Amino acid sequence: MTLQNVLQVQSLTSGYRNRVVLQGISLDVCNDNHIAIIGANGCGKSTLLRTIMNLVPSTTGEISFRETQIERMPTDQIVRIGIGYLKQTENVFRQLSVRDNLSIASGAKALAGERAEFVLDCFPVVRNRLKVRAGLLSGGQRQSLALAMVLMRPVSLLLLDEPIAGLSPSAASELMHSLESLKSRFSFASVIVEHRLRRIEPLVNRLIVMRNGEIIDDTTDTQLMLDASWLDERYRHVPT
Amino acid sequence: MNLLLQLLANGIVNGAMFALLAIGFGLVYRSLRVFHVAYGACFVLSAFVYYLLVTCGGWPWWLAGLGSIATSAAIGTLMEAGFYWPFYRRRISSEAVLVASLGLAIMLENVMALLFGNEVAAIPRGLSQSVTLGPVRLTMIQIAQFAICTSVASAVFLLLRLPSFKIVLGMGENTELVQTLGHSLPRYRMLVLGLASGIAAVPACLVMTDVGMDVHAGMSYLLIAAVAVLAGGVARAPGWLLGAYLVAVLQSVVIWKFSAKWTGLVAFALLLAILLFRREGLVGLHKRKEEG
Repeated sequence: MTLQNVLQVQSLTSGYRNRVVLQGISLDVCNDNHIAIIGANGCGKSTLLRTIMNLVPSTTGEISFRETQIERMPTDQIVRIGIGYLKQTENVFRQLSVRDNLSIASGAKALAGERAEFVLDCFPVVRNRLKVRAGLLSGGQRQSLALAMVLMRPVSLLLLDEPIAGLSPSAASELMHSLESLKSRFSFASVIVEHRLRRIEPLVNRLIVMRNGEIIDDTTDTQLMLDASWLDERYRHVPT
Repeated sequence: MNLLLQLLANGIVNGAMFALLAIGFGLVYRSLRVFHVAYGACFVLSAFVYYLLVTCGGWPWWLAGLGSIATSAAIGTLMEAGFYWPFYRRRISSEAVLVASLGLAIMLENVMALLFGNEVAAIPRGLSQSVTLGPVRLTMIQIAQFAICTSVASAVFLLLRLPSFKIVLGMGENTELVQTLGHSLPRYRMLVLGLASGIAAVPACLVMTDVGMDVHAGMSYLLIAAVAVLAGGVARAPGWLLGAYLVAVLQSVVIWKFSAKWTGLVAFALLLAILLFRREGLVGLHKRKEEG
């Protein structure tokens, strides 16, 4: 694989109304990067992902994806050029069936084709419940559906906002296993915001620690995620 | 008994027209979460466009109908682009948007009153032929109303089954998700308003052909559409049809038992009963507790 930058974030600031959350973040993501972003609640992890997707407008700074400026691009266009984003919550249409959810996600095409087939193979819980209303799925099934929906389109970069929050250990490891298969098949870079570090450690090759809207550590030594004293130095009350 | 059967037949014809109105209103309400008060004005406007094309333009009825549908769809699209979308972008509350929509409806109604006057406008025609089916007699216009409205409603339902139109149904639930799945929200919002307004033009032209209309009729038709959607259940489109037929048939029963002057009360009574005893509507979704 030829290494190249897929995402460049430079001096990014953003926030909500009068509250500045991101304070000049700079970050490069290569196509072989699988990054875990960790930090205490409220440090700006989710806001960073939402700002990249232009769901939260940036105040200053630049974001480019494969050399295209995207900080003012509408969210739907950002998705269409190859950034997938899994929202933390409300990431499926609960009133629609699983099949309808997948149809919407696949860009109004039928659930056929090599990509759709592979994605559904990775999520048997989704494939076996196509007629069920999404609102009736369990938490794990719903997250599987949400991830399958995001990956129905080709992505070069996948942003995941706490994908296993609230899931049982078995549902979480099933989801992570499916994600691993999808990464090997479609080879995309990923950025994952998550608190359950043990679960995601095997999936990542780079670790970023945030505090108060800034990046305070950026390392490829992902084993540090499991080092309680190292984590304790950077922020307190980290659930592992 | 013969009178009741006749009134029920009339009710079913009216129900087909109310159903189409309800589909248009329901599409906007479900997918945009906008209580589109100006929908009534749009309905009346399309009827008057049809009236102008037929009486002044000398267009044949079918071409005038298509012209009215196209004009109404264009007006609906413009309403979204120039009126509702700016409110949405600024995150204005739905209550404020409702009041603004009411203001728009009043403004349109006054402009139409200036242009067309306050009298009932009707397309001059001779006596309509009728068909007798046992104790029931239906005019050809009534048969056309039922056939056209039912066909258009069926076509819309088929359209809504297309994957690209599933987005329209998903929009009301989660607009952000629509965008994060790569779909353009403004485009789909315009599509919904355009489609709904185009749909409203169909019963508008048919009512204009049958009994004529005055420029102030919009609010009563809007209420029927709104009650049909709320009574049937906002979440499920087939419920809107059920609600529409229920309003129309109940109106017929009220005419039979009491008087035609009480028909206006039917919609309100039905709405009250549904809101008190079955909040989610007749065929609303039963949600899990955690769905809220």
